[in-house]
Amino acid sequence: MGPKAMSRADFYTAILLIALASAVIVGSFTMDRLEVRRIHPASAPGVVPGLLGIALLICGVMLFLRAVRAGGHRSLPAGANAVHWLSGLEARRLGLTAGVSVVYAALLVGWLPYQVATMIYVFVMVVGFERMMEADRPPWAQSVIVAAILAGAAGFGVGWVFEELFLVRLP
Amino acid sequence: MPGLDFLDQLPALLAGGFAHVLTWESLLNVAWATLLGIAIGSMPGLTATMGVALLVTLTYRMGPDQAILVLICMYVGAIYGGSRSAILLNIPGTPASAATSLDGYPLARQGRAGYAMGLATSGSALGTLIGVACLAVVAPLLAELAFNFKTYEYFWLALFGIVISGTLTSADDPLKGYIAGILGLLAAMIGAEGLHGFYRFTFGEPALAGGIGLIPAMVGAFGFAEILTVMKRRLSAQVIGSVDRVLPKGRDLWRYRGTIGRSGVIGTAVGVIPGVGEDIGAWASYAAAKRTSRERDQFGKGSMEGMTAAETGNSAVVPGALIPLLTLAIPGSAPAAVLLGALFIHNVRPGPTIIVEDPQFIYEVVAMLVLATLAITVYGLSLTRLLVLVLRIPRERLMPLVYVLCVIGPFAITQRLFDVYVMVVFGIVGFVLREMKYPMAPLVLGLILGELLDKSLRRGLVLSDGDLSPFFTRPISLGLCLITVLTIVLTIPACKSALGRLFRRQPTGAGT
Repeated sequence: MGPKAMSRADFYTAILLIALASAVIVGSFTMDRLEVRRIHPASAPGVVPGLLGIALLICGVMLFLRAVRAGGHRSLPAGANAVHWLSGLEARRLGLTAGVSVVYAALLVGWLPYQVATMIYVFVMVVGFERMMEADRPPWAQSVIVAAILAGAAGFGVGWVFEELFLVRLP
Repeated sequence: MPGLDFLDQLPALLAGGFAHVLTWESLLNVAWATLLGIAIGSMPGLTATMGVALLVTLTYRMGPDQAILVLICMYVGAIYGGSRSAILLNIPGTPASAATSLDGYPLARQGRAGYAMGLATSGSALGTLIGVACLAVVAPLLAELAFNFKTYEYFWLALFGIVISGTLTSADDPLKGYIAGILGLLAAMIGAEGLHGFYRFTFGEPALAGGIGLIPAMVGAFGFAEILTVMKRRLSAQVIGSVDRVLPKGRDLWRYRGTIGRSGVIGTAVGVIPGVGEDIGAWASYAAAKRTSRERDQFGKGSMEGMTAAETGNSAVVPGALIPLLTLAIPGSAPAAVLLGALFIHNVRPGPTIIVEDPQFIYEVVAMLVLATLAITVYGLSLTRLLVLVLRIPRERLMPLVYVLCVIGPFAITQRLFDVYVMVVFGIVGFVLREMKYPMAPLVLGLILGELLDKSLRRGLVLSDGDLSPFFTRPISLGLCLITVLTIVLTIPACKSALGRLFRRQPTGAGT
């Protein structure tokens, strides 16, 4: 990430951090002080989160001011640069990894039998990445065969190890 | 001065430690776990923290002794293994080996890859042994000192850990280190708090009542986030083969004895500092060697001394990081943080009381580290050419399998899908933060130290009836407070330059 992109990222992050810190401070202030239990006021559950919220707020404001000084607020929106990056190979590789991995962990596991979900995930990832290669791309048939072998090994192998050896009831 | 009486018992404690660990089962576990660690460390994208975190999930059914042995072997092996790809690919297998690549890769390009790996092996082994010696002597002293720690000191210790970790792991931008630390501390506030059992920030979700699990968070921040980082770019580096001599010459090791000794001590000292880690140990050792070396003009162009310093330094951090882990329950590095989680899973409670309840345990860990060191020496000097094959495994085929373990690992410990979701969230947040140059170590340390900081501050305030003065008037508290404040002040450029001017003026004033 270049300095310009970094200051822009810092600008947005600072706003998010200030919002989070404010929410934490409000949440801590309004948190039950357990007066009915007659606890010492200094041991109220909201004391430390409140102090951390204040510390985060200070850091967020410092980051915000620094990003503004570096011109992070002037280069909004990312516009053409973002469109150019999103159409690049890096974004496609990241999108495939993040997308398929999140779908596998958050959706497929628990919905399909573990072995089936794992086989689908490994197969899609291996084939997807090998087809995305610009150089040294293996032929289609080779990609599919290798992916199928790996998928089978991962699905049944990992499933067997955890189910039979570690006695885990798989999702 | 804490008592040095234990030094009389040291031989017996060491013998007991080795006797406990030296079994056929242990040797078998050392053999496979260290080899697996070297393989994981060798592969760019698979870090020591990720390796230890994934292995925690595979060893939780083992007995505590064997599980801890396996994890320590993985830790030592992975830190050492990072040197392979640093030398042969110019890509550090782990961040700890970044300094190694500066001289290791030029040596490989000069046709001396085998010798560079042999020297790196010797440096790593000697560095670990120096750290182990420090662990054996310093840990009981620190544990005895820690007996004087009360709730006020523990508060400052937790705060100091976050501040120093944030400062050193993000030296170019400490503000981001502090933000990462605070975010980790805030994450630790989720769930039932330790004094009154009140549920904080759970939003009515029962799964959040127990808080954020350390292992799922670590697997996410160091596993899934690393996978996203690695898969984003296509690796197209060429592996350099090695056909030259591997075994280092005795005279080379003797020539660099000063560098090895100094780097071992620096690495161990860096390891003792909470949440800093192996990469800082390597860079600090490399910088110290460069300042004092007669061949400093060769640094960066293939200096054997530079590479030895880096490798000795990063390996010495491993035992160093276990010193605060065992005596204060505060990890000295990210992999040590996972190890702490593993100790809790296996009902081993590290802390000052360990020296009273189970003093032998420290020396069992010493024995485990020595066995792991022997294993990396044997593998490093004998399997050089075979281990090169590991570097040829395509990441496109390997990473999906690693992610499968990232998903099933956290699930296996508690059998809750919620922990898989925690892993995913920490992975994505960790990836975004990494991309914006936020260090991960303070985040994780915050998650670990959050409870200690929270309970110590509130308990201290209750004990003093709301009076803050004990936090600033007790000697150890005051010392820790001053160090913490000074660490923050020194990161402010204006204060740093003012202090610099002050110290520059003094000699002139003295002379006039």
